[in-house]
Amino acid sequence: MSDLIPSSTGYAVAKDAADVATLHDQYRLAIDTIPGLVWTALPDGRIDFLNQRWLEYTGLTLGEAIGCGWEAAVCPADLPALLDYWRSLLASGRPGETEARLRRHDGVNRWFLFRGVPQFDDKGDLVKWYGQTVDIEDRKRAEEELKKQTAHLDELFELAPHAVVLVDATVSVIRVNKEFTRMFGYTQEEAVGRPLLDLVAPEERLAEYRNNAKMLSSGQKVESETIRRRKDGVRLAVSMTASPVLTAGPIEGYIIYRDITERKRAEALLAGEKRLLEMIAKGEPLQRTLEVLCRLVEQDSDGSICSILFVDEDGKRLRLGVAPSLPASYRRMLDGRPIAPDEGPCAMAALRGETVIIEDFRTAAVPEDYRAVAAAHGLRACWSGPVFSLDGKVLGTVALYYRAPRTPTQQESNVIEQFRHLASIAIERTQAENALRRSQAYLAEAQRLSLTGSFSWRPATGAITWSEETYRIFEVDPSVTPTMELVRERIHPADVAFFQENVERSSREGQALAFEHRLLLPDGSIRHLQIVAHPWRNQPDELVEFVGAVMDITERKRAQDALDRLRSDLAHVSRVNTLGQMAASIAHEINQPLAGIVINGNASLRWLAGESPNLHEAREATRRIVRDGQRAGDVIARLRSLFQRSGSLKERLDINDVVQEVVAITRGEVQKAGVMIRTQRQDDLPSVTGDRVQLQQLVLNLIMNAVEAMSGVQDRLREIVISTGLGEGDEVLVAVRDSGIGLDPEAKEKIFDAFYTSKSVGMGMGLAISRSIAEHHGGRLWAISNDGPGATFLFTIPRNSDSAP
Amino acid sequence: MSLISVVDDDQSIRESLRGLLESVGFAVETFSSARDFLDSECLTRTDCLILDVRMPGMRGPDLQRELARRECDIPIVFITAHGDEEVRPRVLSEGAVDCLVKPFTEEALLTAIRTALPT
Repeated sequence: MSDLIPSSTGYAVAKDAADVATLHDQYRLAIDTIPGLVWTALPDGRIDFLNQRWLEYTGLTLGEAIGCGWEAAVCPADLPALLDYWRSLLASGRPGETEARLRRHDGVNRWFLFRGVPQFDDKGDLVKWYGQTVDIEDRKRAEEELKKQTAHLDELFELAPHAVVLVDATVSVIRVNKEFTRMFGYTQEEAVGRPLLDLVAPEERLAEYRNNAKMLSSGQKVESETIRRRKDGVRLAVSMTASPVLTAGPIEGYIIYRDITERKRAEALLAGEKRLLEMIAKGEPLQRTLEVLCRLVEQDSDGSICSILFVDEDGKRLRLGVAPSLPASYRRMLDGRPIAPDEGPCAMAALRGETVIIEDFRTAAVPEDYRAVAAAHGLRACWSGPVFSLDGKVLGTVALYYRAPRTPTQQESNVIEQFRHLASIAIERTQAENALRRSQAYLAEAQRLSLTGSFSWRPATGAITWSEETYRIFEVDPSVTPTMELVRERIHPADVAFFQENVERSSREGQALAFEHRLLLPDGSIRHLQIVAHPWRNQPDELVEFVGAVMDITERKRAQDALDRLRSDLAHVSRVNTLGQMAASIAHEINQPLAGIVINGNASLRWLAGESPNLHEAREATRRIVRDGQRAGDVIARLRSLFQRSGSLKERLDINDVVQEVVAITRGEVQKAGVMIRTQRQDDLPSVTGDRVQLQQLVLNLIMNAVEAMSGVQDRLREIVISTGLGEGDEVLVAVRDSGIGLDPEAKEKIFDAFYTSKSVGMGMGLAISRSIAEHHGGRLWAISNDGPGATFLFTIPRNSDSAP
Repeated sequence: MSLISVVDDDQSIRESLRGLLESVGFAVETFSSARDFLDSECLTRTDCLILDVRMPGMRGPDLQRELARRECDIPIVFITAHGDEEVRPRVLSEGAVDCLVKPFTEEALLTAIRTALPT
C-alpha cells in the first residue's frame, strides 16, 4: 500500500508491512474524516477509491461508484465536458482541475471543483491519480451574482442618457458609453486610449486640467460647466461631473457629461429677450431695439445673418428696417421691393403671411437681381417669416440668411418663430407708443383749444392728477402735485361749501359729478368752471377713481350773462307791453260802465234839481247807475274767470315726474345762483289729476322763490331739498325746503297775497298764482319756518282729484 | 231845439247820455253804429254829433272822414275810453270840437256841446 502514499509528502514513512497496513488504515481513516471528497484512480482513469465523504454525499456505495459508476452522480449536463476534460488529463498526464455539478444524495446538484493530480514512480511511469472534489457552490453563486451585476452595470453604463467616460490616472480614456460616442462623434475605438484633453476646447484646458487633478488627487467629486468640442469641431456646452473610483488598484475616474447647449441657448435667448423687452419698455428707438434683436438671433443661430423689413403704410412695398450684418448693396436691394408674387423671400412671406424657405438662391425661383446680389455676397439660403400685429396685420418680415444651402431644423424653425414674435412685440409696441404719443399730443392740443382740462381723483388716497390744461386753468405750476387742499384754495370762497358738498356726496355715493363753480385766482379774477366726472370701478362696488373734465366756461358764461341780460331786457319790454295792453283792455271794460255811472249820476241830479223835479227820469237814471255798477262788477268777475280758465288741461300725473321735469329745466339756473338742488322722492306715490303745465309752474315758482330767498346767504350752504310723499288723507304732498332768509312771522300769510312782495324786483304775483294753482287743483299751499335757517313751502294735491274745477 | 245825435256801441253810454242831454233840454237821437247814423234821416238834421272812437265796424274817426267826404259839416265831440289817447290829436286836427276821455265830467261834455252848437 506504500504506493498509495506519496513519498514526497513528508508524511511518516512505513518501516514494515505491518506498519504499512497500519499506516494505510490510519491514512484511510484520516482521509475518511476530512470534510473534502477524496478519490483515487488508476492510470487509465478508472476510479478505485472514494472516501467516505464522497459516498455519503452522493449516496452511492463504494461498489456502485468504483470504476465508472461515479459518473451517475455528475449532473448530466456537465458530464460530457467533465469526461472530456478527464480524458485530456489522462492523455497529458498533467494535473488539472475543472468545475462540474455533482448530485447530492437528495438529488440537489452543487458545484464542485474536480482536481486531479498524477503520481509517478521512480521510473517516471504514471502509477496513480489522486483527486479531490471541493464544494464550490457558494463561490460559484457569488461569481454568478457578480457577473450578473457587472452585466447590469455595463448595461447601465451603455444606456446612461449622459455621456460617460472612464479614465485612468493619466486621464486617458479607458471606456466610453454609447451616448459619449453620439455626443462627441468619436467611435469607441477612436476614443479608447485617447487623452481626454483632446476633447477639451483649448481655452478650457487649464480649468479642465485643474478639475481632473483636483478630482484625482482629492478623491472628491468635482462638478463644473464648461465647453467641449466634438470630433467635427462643433462646440458643446456641457455640465460635467468627475467622480473618482476608489479601489485598491490604480486610481480611475468616471466623468459624466450632460449636453446643456439647449439650456445655455435658452438662457442666452431669455437674457436677450429680457434685454429686448427692457429696451422696448424704456422706449428705446425701434431701430436700436431691432438691431439688438438681429444680433441676438445671429448669436443664437451660428452663421446666420438677420434682417428685418417693414411693410410700408399703403401695404405695397417693403422698407428696410435693420440688417446690421448684411452688406450695404444687399440692403439697398431689399429696400422698396414690391410685395408681389415672384418676388424675393421677404416679399413672398409678407404676401402669403407664412414662412418662406429658400434653400439655395442658385436653384430657387427668385428675381434675377436677387440671385445676382445674393451670389455676389455668397449668400445661399434665406428663411423669411411674416411679422404680425396682434390684430393679424402684416407689419413686416424677418429673415435669416446663410452662406450655405440649407433648410431649418425644428430648432431653427423655433428660432424663426421666436424672432417673428419678438420683432412683432417691438414693432407693435413702438407703433402703439407712437400712436399714443400722437394721440396725447392731439389731446393736449384739443384740451388747449377747447379750454378743457382733464383730471383723475382717487378718493381713497386723495391722489389727484391733472392734465397740462387743467394746470393752466387753475393757474398752478405744472411741477406742483395737485391736492384737494390746493383745489379748495383756488375755489371762490362763496362756492367752497357747495363744491365740498358735491364732491363728498359723489365720493360717498359713487355717483357721477356734474356741477359748475367759480375759481378766485390769485390776481383776483374770477374763472367759471364746469366739472363733469364719472366714477371708475374695478368691480361694481369698488370705486377706484373719478375721471373727468374741467371746462373753463368763463367766456361762455360771460356771453351767456350778456345774453341773459338781453333776454331779461326783452322780457321786460314784452311784459311792459303785455301789461299795457291788458291795462288798456281792462280800463276800457271798466271805464264804459264808470262813464255810464257818472253820466247817469249827473243826469239824475239834473232831473231832481229845479222847481219841478222829474222823479221818473231821475229814477230811470238811478236805475241805470245800479245797472252800470253791476256791469262793472261783471267785468271784474269775467276777468277773474278769464285768468282761471286759461288753457287748463287735466290729465293723470305722477307728481314725482312733475318735480323731476322742473328740477331738470331749472338745474342750470339754480346752479348759476350757487344753489344745490336735490330731491328726496317717495316712489310709488298715487297719481294725481291735474294740469301738468300749471303744476310745473307751481313747482317752478316755489324753486325760484327759494333761490331768491337764498340770494343773500353767504355763510352757509345754499341748498334746496324737494321731497315728495303722502300727505294727510288722500293727498300727495310736495315740500320745497330752502336755507334762505326764512319767513317773517307777521308776513306768513300775506306772502300769498297778490302784489305782496319783499323783493326789489317782481310784482309779488308768484306765490299768489301758486296758491291759486294749488287751490284750483283742490289742494293747498302753505309755508312753515324751518327748525334751522330757511323756510319750507308745502302743497298738497288730492290723489286722482276729479272734483277740482 | 238842437238835435244831438249819439253814436256809441255801448248801450249803457247811449242811454245815460240820452238821459243827461234830455235833462239839459236837448233833443237826442242815439245810434249803436256809424252805419246806422249814416243811413238815418238825422244825418241832415243833427246839430252836434257825440261819437265814440272805438266801435265794431266803422270806427269813430272813419265816420268823421266819411262825413267830411260827403261835405256834411256836423260838429263832432269824440268820447273815448282810456288807452285811445293817440287818437285825440288826429281827430282834433281833422276838425273835431273836442275828444273827451271816459269817464268825463258833465261840465266837460256840456261845454264841448255848447262850443259845437251855433250860438
